Amino acid sequence: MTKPTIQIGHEVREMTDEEYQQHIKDQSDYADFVSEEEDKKTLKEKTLKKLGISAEEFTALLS
Amino acid sequence: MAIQTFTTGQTLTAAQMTSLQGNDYNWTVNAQTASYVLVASDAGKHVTMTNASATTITVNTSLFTAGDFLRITNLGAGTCTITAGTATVATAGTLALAQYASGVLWFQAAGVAYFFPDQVSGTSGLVRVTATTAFTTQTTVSMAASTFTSTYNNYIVMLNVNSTGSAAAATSFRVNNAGSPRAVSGYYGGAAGYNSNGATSGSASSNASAFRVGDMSTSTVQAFQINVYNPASATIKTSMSVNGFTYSDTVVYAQALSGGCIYFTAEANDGLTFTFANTCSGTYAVYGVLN
Repeated sequence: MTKPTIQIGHEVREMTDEEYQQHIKDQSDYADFVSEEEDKKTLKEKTLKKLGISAEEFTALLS
Repeated sequence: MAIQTFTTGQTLTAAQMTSLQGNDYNWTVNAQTASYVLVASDAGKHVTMTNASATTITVNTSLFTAGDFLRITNLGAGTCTITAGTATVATAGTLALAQYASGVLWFQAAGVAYFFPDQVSGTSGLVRVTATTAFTTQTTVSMAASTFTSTYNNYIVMLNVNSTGSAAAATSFRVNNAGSPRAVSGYYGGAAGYNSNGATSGSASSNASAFRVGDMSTSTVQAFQINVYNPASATIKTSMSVNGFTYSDTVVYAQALSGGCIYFTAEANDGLTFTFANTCSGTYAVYGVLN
């Protein structure tokens, strides 16, 4: 299987096994981050809906 | 033509005289393409270095005599560093030559040399150490080994990123030790974003394996100025502060970023690695700041 490339200085080459494993981990970490952010956003929307107020009104309440 | 040694009774030919005179206007070039150790016959020559990666030119004692001089020019994209071997080399500027930087190495004594760089007039300031370097459709881009050296206290990195895919172009930074990205845990920092739609956002990195910024999900254009503090110190923890801007033309959305990060292990770091959640193209350039 062809691995993604990596650029070091001006040199472009295929990733080593170690670099590829790190690349996979980076992609996985980012996917987890996006998922967590989505969960937070969904929770916020649900909470505001239960309270019956908009995001702007919630901000005004806190100020 | 190299320096000639004439002996008593020897006839100086017209060709030799013409060649010697010619060296005043057309220096003999010693073109190198890999790290090099100066030799005695380099006196009076123009030593050039051409290599895309970092190289060194080493200066040893007992090869040159007092008053000898030679010119050194870096033609390559990789930084060429004049290194004291067994001789001492002092300078008012920098011994790390960026591409097209040049200067004269003069010997006060056989083991005492001074380098007079053409492009630095003071003992402090901002010097470009890595010319603009382009990358195309990469998820991981590392600076060449030894980009950060003890020649400078701090560094400024100008990074421009264009996402070439449809997904996110989230950008993260790592420091490199001996050319290898430090992907272990220990990055603590946060970046706050101020968005054009009035919202705020944040990217937290707590004991993470990289410092993440630029998380706007459909970002297509990113630009960062990264200040890197004390990267070449083995005793002071490397820290970074970032100012940046991201923009997406798919949702007409822009975000200004600022943040900072500490790499929580004190060791000498010689560059940065950029990682992207999606393949990106762009450029970076590196400047050394001497306090």
